[in-house]
Amino acid sequence: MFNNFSMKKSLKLKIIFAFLLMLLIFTASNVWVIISLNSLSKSIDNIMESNYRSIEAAQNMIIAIERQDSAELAHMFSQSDLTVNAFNENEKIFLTWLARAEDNITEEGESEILSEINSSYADYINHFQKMISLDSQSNSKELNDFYYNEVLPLFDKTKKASRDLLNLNQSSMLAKKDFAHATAKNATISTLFMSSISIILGLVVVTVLSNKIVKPLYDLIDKTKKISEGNYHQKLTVTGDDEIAELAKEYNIMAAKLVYYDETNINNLMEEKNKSEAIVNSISEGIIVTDDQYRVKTINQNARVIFKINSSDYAGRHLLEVIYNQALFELFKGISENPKNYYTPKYGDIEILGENGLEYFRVNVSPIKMNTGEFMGTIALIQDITKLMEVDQMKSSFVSTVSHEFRTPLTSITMSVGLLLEEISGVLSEQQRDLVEVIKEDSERLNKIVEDLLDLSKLESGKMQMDLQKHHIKDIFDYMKKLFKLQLEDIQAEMTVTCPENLSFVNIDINKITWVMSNLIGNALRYINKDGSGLIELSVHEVSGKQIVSVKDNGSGISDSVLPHVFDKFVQGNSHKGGAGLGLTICKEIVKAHGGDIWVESRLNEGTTFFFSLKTLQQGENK
Amino acid sequence: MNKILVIDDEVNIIKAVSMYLEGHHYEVVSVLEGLEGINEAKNFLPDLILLDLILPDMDGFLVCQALKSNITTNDIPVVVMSAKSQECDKVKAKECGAIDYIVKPFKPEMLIETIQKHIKEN
Repeated sequence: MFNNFSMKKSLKLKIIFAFLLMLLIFTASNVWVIISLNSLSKSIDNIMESNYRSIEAAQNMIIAIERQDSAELAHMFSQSDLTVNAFNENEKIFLTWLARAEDNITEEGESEILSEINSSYADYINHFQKMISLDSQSNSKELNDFYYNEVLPLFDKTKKASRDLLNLNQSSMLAKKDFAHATAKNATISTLFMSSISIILGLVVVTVLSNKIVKPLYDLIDKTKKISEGNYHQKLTVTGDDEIAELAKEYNIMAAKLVYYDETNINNLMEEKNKSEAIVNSISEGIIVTDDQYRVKTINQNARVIFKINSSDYAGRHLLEVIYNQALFELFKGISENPKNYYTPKYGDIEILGENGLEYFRVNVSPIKMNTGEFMGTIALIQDITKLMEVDQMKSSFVSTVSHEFRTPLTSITMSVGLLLEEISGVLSEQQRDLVEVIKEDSERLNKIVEDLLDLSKLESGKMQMDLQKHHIKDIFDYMKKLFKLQLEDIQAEMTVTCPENLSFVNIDINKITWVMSNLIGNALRYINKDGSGLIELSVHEVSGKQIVSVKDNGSGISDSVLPHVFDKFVQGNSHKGGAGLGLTICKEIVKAHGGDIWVESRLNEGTTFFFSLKTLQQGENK
Repeated sequence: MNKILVIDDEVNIIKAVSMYLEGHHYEVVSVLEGLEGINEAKNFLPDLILLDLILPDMDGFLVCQALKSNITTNDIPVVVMSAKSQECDKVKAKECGAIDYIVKPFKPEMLIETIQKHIKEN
């Protein structure tokens, strides 16, 4: 991959290139400035070299020739070597400066002026020599005339030529100064121009480059957002072959794959959904699924038949709206309001008026939980138990009839046993008495079984009437202490009572709940130690609108294999400790009839605790 | 000696109850049918009647009503003894004039107790 990148005109190269370009522009601009400055300095040098020296030479030449003229005039009046010397002295100076001027011919016409100076000065010198030779033989008038007519015009001519030289160079200098000014001005303008161009170019390069880098990134961000929103059909435009283009290419591949996965996923999901729906629909039992707001999610074919739902427009509607069945709703509500309930799955039986009379259904409700444990909704499995109920009712009525039929023979047996034991029909031997006692004991046991069976079948069939009244659990506890006082003393066991102050009332059939309590305590008594260490603890506490009553013993406990079945019929913790194993079943039915629950916790050799719950009577509820 | 009339269709019950009560010094007459029981009550004039609810010829409740509507027998306390233990039966028996209701199977002592209670009251 890295090789691929390095082979391409990478973004990095682009950036470097841009910076190099900027650098180049600035360098060019600087070079231009340097060139301009150089040309300025050259102009100044030019002035210095080509004009200043010539001007200096011309000025000195003028001074020298004027001194020569003065020496000449002086010579006219008093011929002496001094004036000739002064003249010669200045001639040397003049020639020196003239030589310098001739060395520095820069201007047009300068050489002509110089040759004119040269020739007129040579004439001037010749005439002066002539004048020197004259003065010794001529008078002053002749000398004077010679001077004014011959020498002075040459002097003037030479001086004028020198002045011309001066003027020529001075005007040239002024022209060059103007040129230097113009050069400086040009340099300023061109530098400004170059700087502006480089700034503009720099801005253009930066803008273009940043756009090139950032714009695709914005596009990328925008499309990534869309993808994260679930809209996978996104494509970036690929331009060039830099890193961003490479990124865009890979991005497009990824988006295309996402689209593919999404589609295949949707297809798979749809397939799975259809499969699950088909499975759910073909299950021979009814299934209803709701969310945590009781909105219907699924109702399978069987449930639709059971509840006679014709329309398929049920999804998302409230359960009660779809199926107006309060009992069913209560079950869902129970789960939804208490999804952490340990006794889940719960169940309840509901009745529906079908084509062939009443139909019965068992509804098992369980909470649906996410992996995180969060409550999502409720699922209900609805089984048709009409047949079972019919069989159960037949069984109940059979049991009831049979038990009933037992009563009459039991009466004559009991009476006869009484007759024998009271020795009304004659004195019994000790052995005979023992045998009759056995008959008595077992007929009493048989009687108890018959009573329990009858109670149970009444409870199960709902024929047992409940006389609900406002009561206090504490009163039952107190009664229990009295009721079991003697039995407890017999086996030296202790019974404690824990009951909080301000406990609310409960709405119960006092006789039935007393029966439950005495049954649970009776059980406990059977299993605790008889050596004085036996302990039974009764307690009650209030939890969220319920009172939880518990009966705890430190007896032998119930083995794990039996524990789940203790509330079933004919199950005993330990065989042959008396009873028919119906007591706990009746307890359960009684508690259920009160709208409560009953459950048990037990550890072998440590003890057993039975719990049952009763609804607390709410304030204002006064029955 | 107090006189007791037992009306029950079960021969074994009649036998056991009669023997038991005779053992406790009661004079016992027993019949197997309702109509017979009503007639016997008029003749025998017992101090108390033990009445079963299920009889072959007629309902025990009817027997009780008949006894209570007859001038010669309406003062005699009737104790229903039945295998029916439902509350509605007990209420109905009371409505028909029965003084007490004992559910079969009962203990012998309890029978004696009930009889003594109602004969004393009379």
